[in-house]
Amino acid sequence: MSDLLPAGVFLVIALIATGRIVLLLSAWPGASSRLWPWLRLQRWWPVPADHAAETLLRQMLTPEEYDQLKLRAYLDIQSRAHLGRLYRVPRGPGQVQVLEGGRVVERLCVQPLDSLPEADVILMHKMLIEADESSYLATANHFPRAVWR
Amino acid sequence: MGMLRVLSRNGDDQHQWNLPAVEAGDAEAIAAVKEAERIFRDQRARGAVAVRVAPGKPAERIDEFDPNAQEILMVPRVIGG
Repeated sequence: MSDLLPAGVFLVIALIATGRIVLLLSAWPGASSRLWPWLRLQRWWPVPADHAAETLLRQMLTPEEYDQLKLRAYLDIQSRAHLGRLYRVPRGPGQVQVLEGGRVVERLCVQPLDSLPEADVILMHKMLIEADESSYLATANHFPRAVWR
Repeated sequence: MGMLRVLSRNGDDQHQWNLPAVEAGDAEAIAAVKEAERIFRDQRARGAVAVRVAPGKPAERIDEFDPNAQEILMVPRVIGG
């Protein structure tokens, strides 16, 4: 019994240290945007909906787009209707930024009526902006620069 | 093969059909494409947007079911937040 005690203590310390490292990484956006998607892509990920959504997102985006999402935690989508306009869709909670000439001119809030996995929400924005930008803009709540600046 | 994907809390729900088999009159394939069309209409009635997706091309909105599409993605109804 006394032989097992040091091993047990070591195991508990190792688990606490691992947990703290994961928490620290989660708090750092640069790592968080890489760590969680990578975990969700693993077959053993315990939430099948998140695994399916992340897999679909990776399949639907170009490698460059998926890399941008991993590195920057946002996806830029070029407007087809307004020359020089860019929609910046965040991974996770947050509003979509509208950039013109590299400057944020307004923020948009659009959300699914029923809950969707995080990766599906990114795909939702991309599909709606590309396929029906005017309806997307008509549905969104607009927050002009003057409101949040 | 054609595929209809519906984004949902499960990630996505998939429905497939085999177009060559449909054209050859295969009863099972015809039933599959009819089921996909029924789901398409049902989702549209609930406010979903349907987009046709193809590799290397921007998504394209469609209002009618297209059995020739390689892949159709249905985005459930959205609201301003």
